[in-house]
Amino acid sequence: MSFRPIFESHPWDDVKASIYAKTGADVERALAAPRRTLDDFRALISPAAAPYLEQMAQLSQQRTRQRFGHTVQLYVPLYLSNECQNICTYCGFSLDNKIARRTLSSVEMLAEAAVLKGWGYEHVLLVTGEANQTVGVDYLEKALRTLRPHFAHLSMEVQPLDQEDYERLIPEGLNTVLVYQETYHQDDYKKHHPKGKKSNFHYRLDTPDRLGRAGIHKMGLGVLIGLEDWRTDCFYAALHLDYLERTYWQTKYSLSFPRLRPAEGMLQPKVEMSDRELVQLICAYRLLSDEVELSLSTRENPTFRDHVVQLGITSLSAGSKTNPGGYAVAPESLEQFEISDERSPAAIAAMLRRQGLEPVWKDWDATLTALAR
Amino acid sequence: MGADAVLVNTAIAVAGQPVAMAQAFRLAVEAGRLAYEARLAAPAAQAVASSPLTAFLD
Ligand code: SF4
Repeated sequence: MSFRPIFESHPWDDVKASIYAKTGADVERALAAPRRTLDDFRALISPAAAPYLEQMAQLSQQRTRQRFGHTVQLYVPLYLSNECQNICTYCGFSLDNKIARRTLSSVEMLAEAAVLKGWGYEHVLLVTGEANQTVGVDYLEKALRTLRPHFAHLSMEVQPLDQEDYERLIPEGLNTVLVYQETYHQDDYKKHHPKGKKSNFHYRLDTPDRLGRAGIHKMGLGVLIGLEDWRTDCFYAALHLDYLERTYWQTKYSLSFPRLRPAEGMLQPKVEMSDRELVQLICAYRLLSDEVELSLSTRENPTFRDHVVQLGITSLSAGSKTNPGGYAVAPESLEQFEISDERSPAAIAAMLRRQGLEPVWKDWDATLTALAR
Repeated sequence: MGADAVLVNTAIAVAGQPVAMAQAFRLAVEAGRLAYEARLAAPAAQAVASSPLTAFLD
């Protein structure tokens, strides 16, 4: 059992045509449905749904408050390394970029961790490039062992691994893995990932299945918006989510929707998504799934973030640095992408409180992991 | 408000135009009852925007 046959039974051009053929009547039917299907989701992300945005936002807010209450989870990325053997056309760490490479030692990780702890963080996302010699499974295991005593919840956004590797890392404190397909358009995927292990589309596509079989607590999916038609790409992310929720029902899920941002040596986005369209997508995801966590990074600007925390978003990063050592050890090293919201975690927490929302620094504990097993 | 009755005899009887004053009291009582039945909004410590959620996109 895997997602692949489902994926292959949905040819890109057919999916795209079906989304663009949706009408106002389809959108109204989707809005009125008590439980929405993937076909309803097509209507909600279609151009025909644009005039219904306010109604979608109201519904999305209601459903989010019903399921998550007045809370927003806070997390922060901790970049451990910018070494990478891949060429990705949109990334500052790409192998063909001549930048100083750096991988944090355990002592340096702890120095970075101390800053994040000082800000109040308990949920940390560990990020590395893909370089097996330096940041392979042994390194990741060492990082988890080093940081586990200091945080309540550890997530990873690193190269896709084999099932056995995940099974090795989960007992070391790995709670969540984020693995974005970037684009579900196979030809375009090849174009943006011409060299390195990441150019294997199917190995990446199968990663959530390997994670599910390994029994991960939570996984995150998404596409990099800007590479291809966002409506079609995000439909595949929803299709993937729908399959995973039914297959690995004990795992929790989150979705992200990063919009391509300027980075060293990067190409311009092929498709631009407006703020209005991003709100439409956030609401459509919420109307499809009550349970899924929706996460927004500091790629987005303060005004936008301040508003969408009311519309369906359930987790935010704040104070992020996207360079290894960025918090304490080497603040000047080159970042993976520019951030738009530079406010401190305390300022973000205050903004949430002003809006009647509770910032949540910790909603998990290592003892719960032991109990769940 | 929840009052069960109002004593208004004198106020109406001695008014310049008792019939008009009686009607004014009737409207006031009806207005009060209507507002009571419509239930007051919960008190809030801070302002909450009643404007549409997506107005910031305009
Ligand atoms: S996106 Fe990831 S795999 Fe690609 S170059 Fe950047 S760090 Fe490496």
